[in-house]
Amino acid sequence: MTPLLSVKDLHSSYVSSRGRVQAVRGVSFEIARGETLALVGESGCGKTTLARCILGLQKADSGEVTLNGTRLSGLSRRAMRPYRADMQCVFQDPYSSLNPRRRVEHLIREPLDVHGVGTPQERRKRVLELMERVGLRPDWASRFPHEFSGGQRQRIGIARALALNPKLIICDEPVSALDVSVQAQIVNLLYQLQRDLGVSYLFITHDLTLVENFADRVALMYLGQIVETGPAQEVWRNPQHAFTKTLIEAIPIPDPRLRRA
Amino acid sequence: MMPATATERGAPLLEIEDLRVAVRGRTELEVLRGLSLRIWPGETLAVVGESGCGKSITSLSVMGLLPEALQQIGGQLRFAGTILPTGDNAAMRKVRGRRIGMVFQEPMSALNPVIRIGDQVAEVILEHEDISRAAAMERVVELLAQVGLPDPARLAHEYPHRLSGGQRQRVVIAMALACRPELLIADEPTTALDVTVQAQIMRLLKQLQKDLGIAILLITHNLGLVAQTADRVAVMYAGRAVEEADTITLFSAPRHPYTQGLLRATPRPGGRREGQLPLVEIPGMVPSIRQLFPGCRFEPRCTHASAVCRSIDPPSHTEGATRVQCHHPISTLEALS
Repeated sequence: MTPLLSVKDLHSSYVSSRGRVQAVRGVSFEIARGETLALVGESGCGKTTLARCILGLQKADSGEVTLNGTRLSGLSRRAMRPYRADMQCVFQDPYSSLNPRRRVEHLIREPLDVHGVGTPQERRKRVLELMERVGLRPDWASRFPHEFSGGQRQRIGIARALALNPKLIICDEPVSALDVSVQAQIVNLLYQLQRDLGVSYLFITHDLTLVENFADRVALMYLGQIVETGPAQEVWRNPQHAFTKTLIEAIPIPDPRLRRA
Repeated sequence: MMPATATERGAPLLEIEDLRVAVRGRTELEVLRGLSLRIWPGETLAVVGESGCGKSITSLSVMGLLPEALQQIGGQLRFAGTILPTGDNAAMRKVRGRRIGMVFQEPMSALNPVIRIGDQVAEVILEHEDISRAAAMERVVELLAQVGLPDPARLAHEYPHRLSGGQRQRVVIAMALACRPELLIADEPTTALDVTVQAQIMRLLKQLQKDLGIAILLITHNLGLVAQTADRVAVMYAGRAVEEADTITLFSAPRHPYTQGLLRATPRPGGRREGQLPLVEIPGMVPSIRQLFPGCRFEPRCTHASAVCRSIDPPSHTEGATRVQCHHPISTLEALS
């Protein structure tokens, strides 16, 4: 079966005050339907640039992105549009990724409006259904983002990402701003949604421990390249690349009996 | 690191007793609701808790830096045997930076971007000690070397933006240690850093603690860091320390249902649960200080709660090596299962 997403030899660079930065240097990977691939790396390794290239928010220098058999690279903005609905995004900061002056109902409905899906009544019904699905009370639909906690705002972000029935959701550090008890709620919600809807995740994070508990496969990114990939538990148990080993050694294990000197 | 009784260990360095902090003019809205903590010389006490539990307000209280909107309405802070004059800014200036040092979360905002690194560190020394500028600068170079910065003499002339996040945090640590404090308050010192850099900074703090004999109050939400670095742990929930124990005891036999919930919610290597949801949730969320109700603040989220939990806020009591505030503390047997 063809993979849902395939990225082949992607290169991307941008110009900063210090000259041209090669942010992504020849990245290739695939994601199957219903699969979670975790992309793990430290700040500045190029993981967000890679996500932006996949979404078409940033132009790649070379390489190929294929979604569901369709080659997206080189498509015009207009031609790209119908495929955008298949790829949605959940961001790290639920405080800054929601327009503070819009009611929750509007925020979740916006993708439906943009893509002209259904009648106004159908859209309204869909919003309430989505709210219920992500664990928000439908009678909160007329509230503003500031009336919600961080975890609830992330639920709003997830409902919005789900509105168009995407095949792929790119989650960029979706839980790193949240407390551990809320992080567990959101990770479990994402997991449950995948079981119910068959959506695939590209889960971008710096937290390898979280990934080991949650992702199917992991890709480790270092200086713009993917240096190691494999099943999440396998990579943790038997890391191959020096970067992976360094990263695993640096992670503080939540067990004082396993204290490192 | 061994749990010892108070008499064996001598007098605590810092003692926080029944500290109450509330919104100024609305004293029923309490941010700290009778917090008690003790730190002994040379040890690391980790204060853990989720956002809004009051852990940063605790460190600000100790430094006498409470924001204008809050006021201390009860309790006492004793440092090295004397009451800390937290309300008297002039008196606190003699303590802050000299006897109690502080490292904050965000190294970029703790440093002034338009002042050279050397001058910023020297300022701390010149504020507290009557020495010449040249002598202070000599100390600065030594300090920068001590925190592991390369080429310290040259670095002293650089501006903060020239440094990486980890290097900046090293400068902040150098500033905090400039006057050889007895206590270092580290408020989420590595939260903004990558995990490899975090490991370096924590190793540095532990080494400096060993060399200088300082006590560290480590404020964090990261239970991994706590397990790896703390001698004792206090778990805060809604303005109180609901459980306090030595690190091994707390992780192996948590007594408060909240502590147990936090430990279970924390992802750990090898912790994958096939066929189940990936992580163990604590349902609900921390109550806002505006939600006034009698009884235990954790009761709405607690699976052990009974009628008494809804009516009476549990007092603190000691069980073995643990101090816990709960009507139905988890038995040791249950905690181990």
